[in-house]
Amino acid sequence: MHGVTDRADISHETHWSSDRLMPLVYDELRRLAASRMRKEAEGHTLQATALVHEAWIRLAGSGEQRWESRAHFFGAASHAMRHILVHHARRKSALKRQAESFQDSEERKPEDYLLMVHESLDRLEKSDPDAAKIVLLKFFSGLGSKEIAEMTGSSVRSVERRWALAKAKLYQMMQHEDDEA
Amino acid sequence: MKPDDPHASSEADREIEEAVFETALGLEDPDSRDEFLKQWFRHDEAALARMRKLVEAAEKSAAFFVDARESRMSIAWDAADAFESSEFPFPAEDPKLHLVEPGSRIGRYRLTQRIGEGGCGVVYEADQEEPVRRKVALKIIRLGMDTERVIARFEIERQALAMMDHPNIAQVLDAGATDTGRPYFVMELVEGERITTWCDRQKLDIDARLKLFIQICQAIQHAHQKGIVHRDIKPSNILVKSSDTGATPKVIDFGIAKATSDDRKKRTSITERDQMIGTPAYMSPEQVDLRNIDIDTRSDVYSLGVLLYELLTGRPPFDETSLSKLGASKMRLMLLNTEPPLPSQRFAALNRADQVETAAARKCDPSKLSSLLRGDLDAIVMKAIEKDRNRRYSTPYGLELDLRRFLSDQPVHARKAGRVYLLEKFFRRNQVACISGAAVLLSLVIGLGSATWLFWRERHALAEQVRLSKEAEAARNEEDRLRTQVNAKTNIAQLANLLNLGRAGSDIQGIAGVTILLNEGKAEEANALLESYPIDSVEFSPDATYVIRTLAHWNAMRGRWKSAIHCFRWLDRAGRHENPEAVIEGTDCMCLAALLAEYESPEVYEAYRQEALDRFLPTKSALAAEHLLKICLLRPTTEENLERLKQAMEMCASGARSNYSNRDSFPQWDALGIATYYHRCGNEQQALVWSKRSLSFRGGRGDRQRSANCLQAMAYHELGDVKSMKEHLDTARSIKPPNFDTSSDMMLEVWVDWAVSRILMTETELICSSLSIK
Repeated sequence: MHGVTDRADISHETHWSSDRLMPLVYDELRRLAASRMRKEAEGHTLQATALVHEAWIRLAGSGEQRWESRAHFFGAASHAMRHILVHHARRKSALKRQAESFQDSEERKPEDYLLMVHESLDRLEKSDPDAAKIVLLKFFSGLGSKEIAEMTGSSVRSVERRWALAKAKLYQMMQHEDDEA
Repeated sequence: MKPDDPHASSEADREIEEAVFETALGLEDPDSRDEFLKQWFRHDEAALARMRKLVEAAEKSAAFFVDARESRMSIAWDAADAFESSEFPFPAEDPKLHLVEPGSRIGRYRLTQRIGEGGCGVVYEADQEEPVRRKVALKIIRLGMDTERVIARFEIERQALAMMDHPNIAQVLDAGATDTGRPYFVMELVEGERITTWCDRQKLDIDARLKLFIQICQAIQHAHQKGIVHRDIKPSNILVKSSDTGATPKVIDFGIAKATSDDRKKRTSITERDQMIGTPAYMSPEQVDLRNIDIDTRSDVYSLGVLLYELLTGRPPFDETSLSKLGASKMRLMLLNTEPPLPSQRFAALNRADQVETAAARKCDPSKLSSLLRGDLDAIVMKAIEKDRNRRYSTPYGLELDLRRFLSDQPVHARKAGRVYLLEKFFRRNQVACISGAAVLLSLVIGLGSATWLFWRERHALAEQVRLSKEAEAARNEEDRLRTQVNAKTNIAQLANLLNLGRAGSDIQGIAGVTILLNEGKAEEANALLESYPIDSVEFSPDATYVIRTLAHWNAMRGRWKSAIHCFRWLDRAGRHENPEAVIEGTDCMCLAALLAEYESPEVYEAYRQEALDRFLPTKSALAAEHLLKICLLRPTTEENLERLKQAMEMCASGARSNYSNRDSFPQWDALGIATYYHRCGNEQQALVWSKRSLSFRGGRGDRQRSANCLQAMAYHELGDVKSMKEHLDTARSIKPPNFDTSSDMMLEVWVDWAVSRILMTETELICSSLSIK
C-alpha cells in the first residue's frame, strides 16, 4: 500500500476510484501529521496548503502532471477529505455536548459551520451538482481558484464566479433547512 | 433563454446564470441592480424572484463562508492532531522518517544537543571540527518539510542571514545539505539569555537598557538596509551574551518564528489555528490586519517599540493572558483599535508589590521609575508603537536617534503632539468605532455573532473580485493578469510566502521563481527570468526588493549595465514610498547615479541629479550627506547646484571631524565627499586638504584611495603643479579593482565605489593628458 512503487504509479494513472485513493490519502495525511507539520509556522500558507493539497504534492511528486489525472485525483481526494473532516467535526460536536458548557449557545462552534455545510451539500448535490462540486473542491479541499481552473479547464474568473454563486445557493439551502427544522 | 427548470443543467444556461449573478452583484447601487434584474427577467417573474433571492443570499453567504473557512481550518488541524495518536503506526522503513539524533554527524559538524525548533527547521548545537574547533548552531530543515516550496523558503532564510554582517546579528557560517538532500545551515552559536530576563537579572538601570536597546536598533537597521524585514522581533529572539568585553545582544532567527520549549507554554502563539504568524503581543497592527499586503520595515519598528516598552516597564503594552482569552477575531480587533496605555500609566496601574519589583530590576524605586518614564520616554515608545505606521519612526535609526537625544538630554522629536494631532487621533479612533459599530449591528441582524470585521473584508473582496474580473476582461492575457494582481495582493508577508508555486514545481513563475533560482545560485537564469517578467508590474514589497536588489548588484558587477539600471530604476521607484531619509542613507540611489553617469547620456544623469537634489535636500545626517554628494558630484556642475549642496557638505564636515566611524558617519568617506565638493567648486587648496584627510584613514579596499588620488591629481593640475599631478596620477593608476565576476553575494555593494573611482579616473586621465598648465 505504501512505499515507493505506489508513488511512481500515480503520475501515470488516469483512472481513479475513491476506494483506491482513500488509503493513500489517509496514509499521506498520517505521514504529514506524524512529522508534526501541523506545529509549523509553515501554516503561514494555510490558505493554500490544505492537507489534501500537500498530500497531493507528496504523492505525485514534481514534474509535469496531466491535468485530467489531477482533476480526478482531487475530486476523489476531496471526498476523502470531506469524510475525514466531517467525521472529526461530529466527534468534536459530540464531545462538546458531553462536557457541559456555560458558553452562550448563540455562538457557533467551528464544528457547526462545517456540519451545516456538509448536510446542505448533500441536498445541493441533487439539485445542482456543478455548484456542489465546486463547494467540495473549494471548501473541503481548500484548493485555490487557479488550481481548480487548471483542473477543470476553465478560467480563474469563471471559477470565482461559480464559487460565489454556489455559496449563495448553498446558503439558501441552509436557510431552508433552518426554516424546516 | 431559460427553461422552467430552475436549476439549469445545460452549460450555457449555467454560464448565463452566473454572469447575471455576477453582474447584479457588480451593481452596488440597489436601484440599478433592481432595474437590471427586472429588465433581464422581464418575461419570467419566477426566475426574477429566484435571482433576487440569490443575490440577497450572496452577501450573507460570503460572510458565512469566511467563518466557515476558519472553522474548516480548525477542524483540519484537529483532525491532523488525531492522526498523531498511536492508532496509526509508522510504516516499516522509510528513510525519510529517520530522525536526526544528537551524536550524528552532518558534514563536518557533530550534533550535540537539540536546542530549539520552529518554522520549518530544527536547531541543534554542534561541534565544528575543522578548519577550526568551535561550537556552532546548526539549523536543519524539518522532516516532512522537504517539499520544494519549503526548501526554497529555508534557502531564503539562509540567504537573508548570509547577507548580513553586523556584530549584533547572528552570523551564518556555512550551509549545505545532507546526503539525503536535506538542507541545513550553520550559524554562530549564540549562548545567552533572553534580553528581558538578562536585564532584570543584571538589574540594569534605564540608561544601560537603552544603550543595549540601541544596539538592537542598529542591527535591525542593518538588516533593513539589506532589504530584509525581520517580522518577528521579540525578547526570545534577542539573546544577550555576557563576556569579559561586555554584553553583546544578538538578534537571531530572521523571518521565521522560533520557539524554545519554555516559550511555547508561556507565550500565546497563534501559529497553529489561524493564519497569523508570530506572537500577537508583538505584532504590529498591519501584521494583524489581514487586509494588509505590505509589511514593511516600519512593522519592525513597531515590534522594537513593544520590546522597548517591555524593557522599560517589565511588560508589553497588551497583556498576553487577557489577549489569549479573546478569540482570534476579537484579539485582532483589540490590537487594531485599542490604544495601549502609556508606559508610565501601565506601570502606575500595577499593584505596589509589582511596582517595587519592577523598579528594583531597574535599580531604582517606583517613584523614580515613574518620573523617568513620564514625558520623553512615554512619547518615544508611543511613537514607535503608533497604529498608523506613517506616524511611527520610519526606521529603527530614527528611533535610535530619539533615544540618543533622550540620553544626552536633548529635546526629543516624539513630543511634537499638538492639538491637531490629538484631534486626528480622536477622529480616527471614532471612525474605526463607527465601522465596527455598523458591523456589529449587521452581524446581530444576520445572527453570526463573530468575525464581524472579517465580513467587511470579504465584502470588499467580493466586490473587488467582480471589479477585477471586469477589468481583466479587457486585457488579453486575462488570467495572467488576475493571477499577477491577486498573487501580489495576497497577503505576501502574512503568508510569508513568495513561493506561490501553485503547481507541484513544474513551471516556476514570477518573482517566486526568480527567488528560487537565486537561492540555488543560478543567478544567470534568475536574471533571465526576471527580464522576461514585466518588472514594472512587480508590486513593491520587501521580498521583491530583496530579489531585485540582489539581481541589480549582480548585473552591475558583471558589467550588464542595462539590466542593472533597469533594476535600480525599479528600486528607485520603490524608494519613493519610503521616507527619503532612509532611502538616501541606503545605497540604491548611489548605484543608479553611478551607472547613469558612466553609461547614459549626460542629460539622463543630469536629470537624475536634479531629482536627487530636490528629493533629498536638506540632508539629516552625515551619511545621507555623503551619499548625496557622491550622487551629485560625479560630474562637474553649476554654481547654483553647488550652492544647494553646501548644506550637505557642511553636514559631512560635522561627520568628518570625528576620528572614528560609527553608525552616523564614516569620516574617511565624508572627507572624500568634501574634497570632491571643493574640487567642483574650484577651491583646489581645500580639495587637497580634505583628500589628504581622507587618505589619512587607513584601510579600505583601495577604491577610496584611488578616488582621492584622482582628485589630488586634478587639483594639482589646476594649480599648475605638474610633478605632483603626475605622482598622484601614477598612484591612482596603480590601484586595481578586483574581479567582480567571481564575487560571492556578500560583496554586493562593493562595486559602486569602484565605479565612482573609475568615473573620476576617466575624468582625470582626460584632463591630465592635455598637460596644459594654467
